[in-house]
Amino acid sequence: MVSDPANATQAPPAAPQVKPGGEPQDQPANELESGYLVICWDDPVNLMQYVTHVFQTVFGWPKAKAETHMLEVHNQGQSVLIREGLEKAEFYVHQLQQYHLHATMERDGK
Amino acid sequence: MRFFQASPDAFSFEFNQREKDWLFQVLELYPLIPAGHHRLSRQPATLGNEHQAWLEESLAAHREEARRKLRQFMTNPGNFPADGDGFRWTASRADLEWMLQVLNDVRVGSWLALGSPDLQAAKFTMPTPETRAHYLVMDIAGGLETIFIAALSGELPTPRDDAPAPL
Repeated sequence: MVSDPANATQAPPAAPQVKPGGEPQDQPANELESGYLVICWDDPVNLMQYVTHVFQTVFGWPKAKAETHMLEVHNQGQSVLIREGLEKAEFYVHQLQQYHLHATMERDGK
Repeated sequence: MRFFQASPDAFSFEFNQREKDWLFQVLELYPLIPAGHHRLSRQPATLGNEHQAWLEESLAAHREEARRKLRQFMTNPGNFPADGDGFRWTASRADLEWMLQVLNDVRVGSWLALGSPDLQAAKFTMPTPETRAHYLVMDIAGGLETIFIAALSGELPTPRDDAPAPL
């Protein structure tokens, strides 16, 4: 990630987008269901402030939590953003990739 | 560029002619990220090809919608009415989110066209005539992203007396 000069502040989350042909599920992930991790990977091009903003927008996180995950990406090369079932993990990856973040979903080995 | 927020969901930016030209020249490059660039997983075998195909289909539809909105944005003079010596664009929160996605496509796509360089190391490399344009586009797109995110975050100063704040 690329550092940026502006100080980031908390932004209210945008309305969640609806994936084609369906609606985002409101139920919490079934803990017995096989889990998938949504991971954001570091890259040299996305601005740190941009990444923070996208996390706030896609997940509705407060700024502090979004910045924590952004710094994990920046310093550790990756950050596990969320653990969900298959459908919802795909939904979030689609959302993140619409913003052109380097994000993927991987099966949770646990 | 100057910023003026008229209401919680109305963000007005005033551009001079050169700034408007730069913005449009960057937007005209969209989309730059090649189709199929994004991968759903680093473990494709665990998900199956149909999931990757669905992602590419979804992103293609999203890209086509963004192109349609971009054509409308750039060709409708009502979107950029003259305001004194410049032009004013008033955007909703949703408009700015869409614009951020378009700008970042151009920024990331330019970086890919450069061969995905380490940008920290590239600072010490003299650009060639071929690479200079890509770096300039990345700088403009990144600068605009920073401004629009600051506006969405309420970071930009809200001027008094209906006077725009210089950026």
